[in-house]
Amino acid sequence: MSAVLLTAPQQMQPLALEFVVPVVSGLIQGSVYGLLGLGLVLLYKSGRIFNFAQAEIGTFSALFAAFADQGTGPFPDLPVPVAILIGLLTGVGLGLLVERVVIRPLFSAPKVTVVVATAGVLLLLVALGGFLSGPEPRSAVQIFEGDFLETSSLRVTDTGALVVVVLAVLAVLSALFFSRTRTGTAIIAVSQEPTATRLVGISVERTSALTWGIAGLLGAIAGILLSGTVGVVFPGSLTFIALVPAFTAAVLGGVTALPGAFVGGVVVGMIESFAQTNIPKDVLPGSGKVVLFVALLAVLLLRPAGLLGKET
Amino acid sequence: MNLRRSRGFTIAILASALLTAACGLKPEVKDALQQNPGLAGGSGGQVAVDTDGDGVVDAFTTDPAAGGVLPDGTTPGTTDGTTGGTTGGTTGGTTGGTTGGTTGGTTGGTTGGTTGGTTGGSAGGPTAPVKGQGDTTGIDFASKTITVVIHGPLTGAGVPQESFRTGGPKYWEKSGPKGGFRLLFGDWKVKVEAVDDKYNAQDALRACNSAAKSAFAIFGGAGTDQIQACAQSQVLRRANVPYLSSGVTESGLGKLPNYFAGSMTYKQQSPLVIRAAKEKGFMNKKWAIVITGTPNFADARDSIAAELIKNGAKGKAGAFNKDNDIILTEKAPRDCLTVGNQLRSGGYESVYFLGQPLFFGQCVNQYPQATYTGPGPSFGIQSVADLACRGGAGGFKGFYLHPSPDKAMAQKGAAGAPAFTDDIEAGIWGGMQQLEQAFNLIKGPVNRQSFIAALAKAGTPGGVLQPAAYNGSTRFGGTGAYLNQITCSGTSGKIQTVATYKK
Amino acid sequence: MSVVEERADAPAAEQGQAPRTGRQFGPIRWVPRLMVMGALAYVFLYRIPQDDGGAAAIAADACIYAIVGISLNILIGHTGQLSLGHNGFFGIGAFAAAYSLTVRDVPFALTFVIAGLVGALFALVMGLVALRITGLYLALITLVFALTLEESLFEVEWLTNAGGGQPADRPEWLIDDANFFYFCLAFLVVAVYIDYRLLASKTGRALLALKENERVAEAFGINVTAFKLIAFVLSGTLAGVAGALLAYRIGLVTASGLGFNLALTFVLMTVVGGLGSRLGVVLGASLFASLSFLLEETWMHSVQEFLVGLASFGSEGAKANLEQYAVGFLGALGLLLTIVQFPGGIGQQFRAFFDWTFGKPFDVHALLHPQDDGPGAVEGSSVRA
Repeated sequence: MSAVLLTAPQQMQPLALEFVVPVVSGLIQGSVYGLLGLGLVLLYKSGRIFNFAQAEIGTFSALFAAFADQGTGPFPDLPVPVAILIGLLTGVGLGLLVERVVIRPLFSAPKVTVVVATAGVLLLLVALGGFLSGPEPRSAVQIFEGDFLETSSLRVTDTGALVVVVLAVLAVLSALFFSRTRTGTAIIAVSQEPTATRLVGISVERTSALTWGIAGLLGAIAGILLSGTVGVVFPGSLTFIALVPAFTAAVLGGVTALPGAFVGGVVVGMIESFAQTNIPKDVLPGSGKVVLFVALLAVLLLRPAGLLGKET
Repeated sequence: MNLRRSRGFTIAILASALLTAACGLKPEVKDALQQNPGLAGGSGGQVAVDTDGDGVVDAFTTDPAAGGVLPDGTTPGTTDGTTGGTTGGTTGGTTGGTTGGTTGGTTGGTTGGTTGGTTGGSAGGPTAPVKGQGDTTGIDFASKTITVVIHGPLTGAGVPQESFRTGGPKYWEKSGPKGGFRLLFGDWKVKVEAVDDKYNAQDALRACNSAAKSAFAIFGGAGTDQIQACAQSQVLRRANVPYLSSGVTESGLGKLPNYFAGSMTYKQQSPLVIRAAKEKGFMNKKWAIVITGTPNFADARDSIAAELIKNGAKGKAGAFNKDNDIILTEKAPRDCLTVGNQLRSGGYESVYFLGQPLFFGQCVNQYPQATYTGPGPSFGIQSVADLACRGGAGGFKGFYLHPSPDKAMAQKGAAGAPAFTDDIEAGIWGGMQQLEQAFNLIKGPVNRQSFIAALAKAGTPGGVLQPAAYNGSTRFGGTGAYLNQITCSGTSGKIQTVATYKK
Repeated sequence: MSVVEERADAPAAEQGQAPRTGRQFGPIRWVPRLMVMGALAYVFLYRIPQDDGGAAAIAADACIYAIVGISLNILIGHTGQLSLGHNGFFGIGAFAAAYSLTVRDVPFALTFVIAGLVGALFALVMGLVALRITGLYLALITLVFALTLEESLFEVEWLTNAGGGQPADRPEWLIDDANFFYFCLAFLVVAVYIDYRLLASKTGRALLALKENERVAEAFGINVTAFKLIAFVLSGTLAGVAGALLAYRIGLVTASGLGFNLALTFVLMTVVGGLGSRLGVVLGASLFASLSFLLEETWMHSVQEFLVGLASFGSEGAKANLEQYAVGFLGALGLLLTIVQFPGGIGQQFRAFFDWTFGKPFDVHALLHPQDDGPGAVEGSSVRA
């Protein structure tokens, strides 16, 4: 992808531009959705629930990373890698905490209750984030500050490029995790036959905690990277920016297949970007959303398991 | 559903039909009541008052139970004889004389004319409010306090501003003699409450309507949609609540009885943007307009596009062109990747930007090569600059118009004020100064009617903000603006006033 | 704001089964109950509407939210369809009313009919989708549907005046907030009655059967397609009318006031109230509508101030943050507690008091075991993905 762009001549044809700009913007934006979508797919795959708090776990982690980076709150002024580590640990911790306090007591509750409970966690995290940070946007931790690519017609920051790479790597890794490792298989087993799995000696509780810990970590990675591309983070910011597109990405790609989130995310990002660039707002406002809704509806009606999903 | 079961539904539907039918009837009944003063006690209807004879309704009396006083100093109905005499003498002196004739025919201005004429001119300035004279909502006689509400985006814009809260009290409570309270009519205080409009017209209107019951006047800090929603509020219009704001859009606001824009509107500022571009050397470049696609920005958009075309500005391909070079954006865009790359690929060098602050900051980050310009109030500009400068991708070159000057200049103009924390606080401080000047225009007891009538006829002399002149002919009183240059100083934005423009 | 559904539910209590205990004290047993009813009527029908601190407007909000709660309960509670897009039906009703009144000069009363019809139409579309897509997928598609409406249709200039919002002025006789509250209350009573009749009818039983298991219901000869669509249309109509009320309540409709947050609030208040419980839904809705007012404008404010003062350790910044987010925090905490500790919701907690007020003996059992409490009782919905 980038090779093509790097060789792009300084004076591109207007038509090519109208094509390339949305593709690149869409790829980066879509990767962000995909990153959040990965965590959503993981939780759906393991417990058949949608986690509304996923993006806010990311926001919370990004907030803590920003605290540590700027030396506010309980933190001294720490170097960027440490700040990021603190952010990631926050995500894992939140995932484990939510699992223990909210999800586990609801093991036998109807799914709708669990989903609504995660929405409650979302609101609680927004409020807690507000308590700690206030509503003012905080500048986010920047992992890199340079430009990956800058021509007269396009600019891709290092953070933007990093998001794409991280998403691709994580999607492959998590696919391998579920197909090649014992823990991964255990998670699938628990989701499909909890009782039988227990009989074989796998702890359902431990598996559930593990899943949520990983989901928290994925959320934190998404949160820190996304806040890096946006530049700022404040309570509720990632939920506002990316939660619904991430859900769409996950479902579009197939909630049962992890690489699906990658494909779904990129498709969502590109559709939005194309529609935004090419359909003027006074012709059809929110054109990106309309096209997306139609696409989602079509996929769900024609291929309910998603683009990459398997019928189960 | 079988027939027997559906009976319940039929009943329910009938009930709702009856209910709605009853609602449909009611207005006529009410109208009939209003047309018959005997039935409605002579107080049901609204009396439109046109004090300046320009065909614009300047005030309504709506609260006759509280002894509503018309702007020209008359009280409707039976109370004329008693209170009409006293208020007529004070406020009628000027209004009654000049405009009593025009309004006289319809609203019983005869009393205003006669009583006003006899004792007119005796009182020179505002006097403390008197219970029962005019609408004194928001005035607490026991503690001698007048409450004023400011609404602004405390949350929601992504750049919430604590200074919206602190600016008002800083004026009324810390800028008086010896750094203490600033008092009106000897011993009256003004209490300012900031309410959050969440950067959203619906929440703004909710806040304003509820403030109409507790505040004497309402002040709109920033946000075009929010200001427009409040100004047009049925509740505010009906209760005749003085509503002051910075100049934003003109759409729908020109004929409102209770509205005052204390600084230049976006449309009025368009020629000044061109002037700034010429003086600061970014006129002869490729121009783009990035603007939120709301009808409330239509007047700003059309006027700046017309100015650009008139002045031969360039666009992406050839001359500036409305179809190619205007990018309409969503109200709360999620990111500026697409728009930023659109600007970049179009090779734009000068960008007129009017939209959400957080989005603006992201766009500058994404495409720092251009010079950004636009009208004020752009209360988020400091945050925009901070956000852009933190990104470190080449900084921020911008020239923005604004009703108030930079912090340092405002500080000089605001003698006796404690140090301002930022330009937003300075701007709110200036707005409060305007408010006090408006109070001082009143001759006689202060109430909502006398406040509106006095301000509509004259204007405010200026201070931190530039003078505002309404002169009975307009509600967009702004006469000038400051040109602020925005640069980066390290990782934070720096705002500096480089010119003072008059209309 | 519970007086409403108490009145509406009264027939349920009267026509209800024989009292569970044989003890009868004749008219005397009604004395304390009448006193309670009188006190409630005084508070909700007089004290709150006539309050000059703005309580009437909040009470009107509570009624509007309660109608949405009833509407949502028809889908989630009775039929088992999780809709996260109710802000869409609500919003389209609000815009339809405001547009027809302000732009088209349609008579005030007729705008409610239009709002209801438009809400029903959009809900019908979602209902058709729901025939093919079920469970959490349906929840997601309703969510995206509402978001699409918010960013697309609600931004179309001729209909909504885009960011500026579509004004909706009340007629003269409704400008007083107390009158407007009574007006909304009347609508709520009708909505509660519709819901009551619905549940008592064959349709209601069919919907409950649908919720339990669509396939089994179908095997018993229940026309799944028709009843699902009925549920959606009815729910959409109520939501649309509630939207119209909101338009007049505020006087302006904007897309940004109808976003994802509102959809979440609607679902949360219904769940906290207690799915399937009419009383609970109305109470939950009222609570969510009035929480920030209660915390900021009533005696509870001093309690909040005190707690915030304790928690902020004297730091001004922390204090401001705590105050600003207190409402959200308490709402979310209440929700989680309800779900994890008291799955029956508020409805369950109040059931015993409510039944007592209307003549039944005080039933401690109902407080603890809501499942035994008849068809309208609280049960988690069995939406499955």
